[in-house]
Amino acid sequence: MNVHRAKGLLCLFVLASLVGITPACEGAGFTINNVATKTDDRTLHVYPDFDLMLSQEVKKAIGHGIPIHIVIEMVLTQRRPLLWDSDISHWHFPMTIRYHSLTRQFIVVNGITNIITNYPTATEAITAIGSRELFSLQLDRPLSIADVQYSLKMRVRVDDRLLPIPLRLHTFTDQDWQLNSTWTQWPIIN
Amino acid sequence: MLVALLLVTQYLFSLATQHSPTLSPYYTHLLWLNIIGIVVLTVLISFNLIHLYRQHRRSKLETSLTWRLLGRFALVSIIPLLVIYYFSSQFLSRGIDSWFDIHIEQALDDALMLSQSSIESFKKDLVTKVEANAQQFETHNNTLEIIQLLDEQRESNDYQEISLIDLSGRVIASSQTDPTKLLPETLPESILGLLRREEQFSKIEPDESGGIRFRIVVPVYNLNPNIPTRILQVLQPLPNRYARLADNIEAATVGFAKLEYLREPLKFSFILTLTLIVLMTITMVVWIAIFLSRRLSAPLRELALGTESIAKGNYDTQLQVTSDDEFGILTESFNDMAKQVKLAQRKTQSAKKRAEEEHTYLDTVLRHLSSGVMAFDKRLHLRTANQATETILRIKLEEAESSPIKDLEAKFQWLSPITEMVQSCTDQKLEVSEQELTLYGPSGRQVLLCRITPLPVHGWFGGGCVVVFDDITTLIKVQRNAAWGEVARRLAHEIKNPLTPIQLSAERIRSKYLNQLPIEQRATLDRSTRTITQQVESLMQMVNEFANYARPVEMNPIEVDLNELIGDVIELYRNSQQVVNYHLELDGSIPMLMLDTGRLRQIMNNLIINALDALENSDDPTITITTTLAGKGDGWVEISIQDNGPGIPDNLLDQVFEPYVTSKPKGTGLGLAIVTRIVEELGGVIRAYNNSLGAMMTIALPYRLLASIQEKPDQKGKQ
Repeated sequence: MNVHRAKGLLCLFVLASLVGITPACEGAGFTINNVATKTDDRTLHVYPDFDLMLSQEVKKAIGHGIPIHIVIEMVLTQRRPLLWDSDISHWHFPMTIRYHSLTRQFIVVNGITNIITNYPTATEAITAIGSRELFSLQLDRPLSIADVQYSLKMRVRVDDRLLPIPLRLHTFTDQDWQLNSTWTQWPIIN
Repeated sequence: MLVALLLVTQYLFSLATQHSPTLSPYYTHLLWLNIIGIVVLTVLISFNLIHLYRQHRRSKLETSLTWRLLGRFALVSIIPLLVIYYFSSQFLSRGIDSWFDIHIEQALDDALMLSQSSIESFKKDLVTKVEANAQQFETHNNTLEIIQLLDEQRESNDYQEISLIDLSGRVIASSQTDPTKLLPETLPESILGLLRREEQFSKIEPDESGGIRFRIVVPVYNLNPNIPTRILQVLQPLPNRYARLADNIEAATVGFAKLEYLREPLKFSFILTLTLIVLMTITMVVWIAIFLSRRLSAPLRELALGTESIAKGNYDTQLQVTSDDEFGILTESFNDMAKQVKLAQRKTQSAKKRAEEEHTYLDTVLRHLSSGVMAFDKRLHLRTANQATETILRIKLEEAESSPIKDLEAKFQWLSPITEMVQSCTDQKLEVSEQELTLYGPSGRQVLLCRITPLPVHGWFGGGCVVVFDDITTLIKVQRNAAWGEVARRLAHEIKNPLTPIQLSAERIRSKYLNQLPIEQRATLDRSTRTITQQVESLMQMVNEFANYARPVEMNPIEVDLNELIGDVIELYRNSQQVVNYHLELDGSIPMLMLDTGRLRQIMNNLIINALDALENSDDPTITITTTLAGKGDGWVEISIQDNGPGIPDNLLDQVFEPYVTSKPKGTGLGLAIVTRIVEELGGVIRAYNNSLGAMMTIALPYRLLASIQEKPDQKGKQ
């Protein structure tokens, strides 16, 4: 076998191996069922329908004092006929669930408003996060929906960068930590 | 450069593992970077090893040492690394396990329970206080009064917030410590539901600052039944002195719980970090080992290649001296050696050229020598023979060279006198020996003057002997002819001359005095003169016969059918008076031969006459004449005459072919001698022996010399 050809095959194998152990994009736990949108001058109102569930392992981690940071990400894109979609704006809505052992309460902290809400169980806490019905996104300029096709990409994920370092590796290999939803795309009609 | 990059990424990764605020978010990326780096380095090492292996298969000369050095370097480095890795990972694992002392966990749990109990107790006291506060609102319905009462209660009880809320959740009035807070805390529907059912609600909950507060919600009944039940909500943070302790316990408990939860992942991450470091170190070690082993073995490889080049004959090889250490000294020595070898090679070539020239000169001299030269080594194998040897002895040099002397004798049987002489001189270790040998070969009878000289023993190739020989057949013949001619001439002159006057004198005396003598004296005179005349004639005849014998044999060969000629000769004798049975066994394959018919008849006549003389008193005289062609080319034509007489007397058998040797009373004794001369002139050989039948005479003539022009072997070979 030619040496150069052997090198190429080996590189391909290495890449394939890396892909094989790359964390799966398919979320298990966070689902975006539907997203409705409504534009109002420079505001885009988003009405999501989330279905957020934590695995037992994640609940156990929360119960052991590991704060879980959940991020709701939204990206406004402009569709272009010949090229790929253009990203216009990004929004991140971080939420943190942590356990307060003294009060035996699960605290949800809104990363933007810093409002704290308490829940007796982790399930109630995540449900509360998922029950938010409205997000009002500020736009730089009004959308010209009549002329341009816009869509909103959304996903809900666990921010593993804020997890303790030893736990980050588990997010790749442990199915219980594969909670992230996929990117979903929703057209903006009006 | 790759190694340096890997070291940097490894350092950054270790910092990220230690919760560096800048690098922690990039932990995963750094991890993958390290893994990719290690994989890339491993791939590069693999390619290098494959390349090295292929080089090794192509030429072990270039890579054997590199492989050995590489193996040893790698072994020396990797084994301690693995030992350290094993013990480090064990140490890490046990060290982490040692953090989780059951006593610590128990203590923290107990502290938490104690805190919770204290807080619970505090809450109960607060509930009682709030219930008492609620009773004060039973009679107050005016908003201003309510606000004032709320402020009083807040200040006196040091509440954070106190609010009066209706059952629908609407805040009637509120008093707060924080003036910046515009709205009071609302009640969730679940709590409102409880209050509607006239149950109180109390909860310990974390506040925005991370501390603990109490939320006490009690129903407020009004004495006025028209006024619906209201709700009094009090938010009271834990007092500072308790809050700090609670925070500490909370933090310690959460921290320990977190650590306990992360126990295994922590061990895994540390061991993973250690593993990556060890892997990276191993790959770096192997990479460096490849580099070092190549560098160390490069000078030796150059030397080996240089040696190989010199072994192939490229004496101009010079290596570059790249260092001043032992390798440099070795390289310089090699270069010096190469120069010396080149010089020696030049001298050798020059000597070889001279030797070749000498050899060529010697070979030319030998080739042009008229004498035959044969050189035998100490094992008596024919080492060298010149062209004259081939010509004289009629042998092919390419068949004879390097043959042992016994094989020579077997292949060329006519050389047996020479080989016996050589063997004899060698066995007896004679200094020099000179002999005259007679060979009967393809050239017929040859007389060679041979001189054997032993060769001195010098080293490996010494010993053996040199045989120098000359064909003196013609010389002997000429000398003999000259000698015999001279003898004949002198005899004729010295004997015949006086015989004539004697004969004439006797005849004159007879003619003159016979008639003058008395009758009784005449007979004596007549007898005496007659005797003198007869004896003179006899002497004359003897001299003439000797002159005939001494005369050179002249040959006039023509193409003759030998069998036909013999048949003609025998036919003459069949008609003679002596009755003899003649048997002819003539070989029909004998072709036409170049023979002098007169001389051949002379031979046949002499031999037949001898046989007839021997059969005079025989009862059944028989003469058998046989002709045989014993092979063409180097073969012989044999003529045999067998009689059934008494045979040749034993005492004459060895001398029967010499002149004047005869058993017959009347013979001159020259018949067989003349036959022998003729046969020898023809290059043949004659033998006489007795067998059970009688006497046998055999003549063998060389075919090569007798073959006609069409049948000449040489010309046939040329054809």
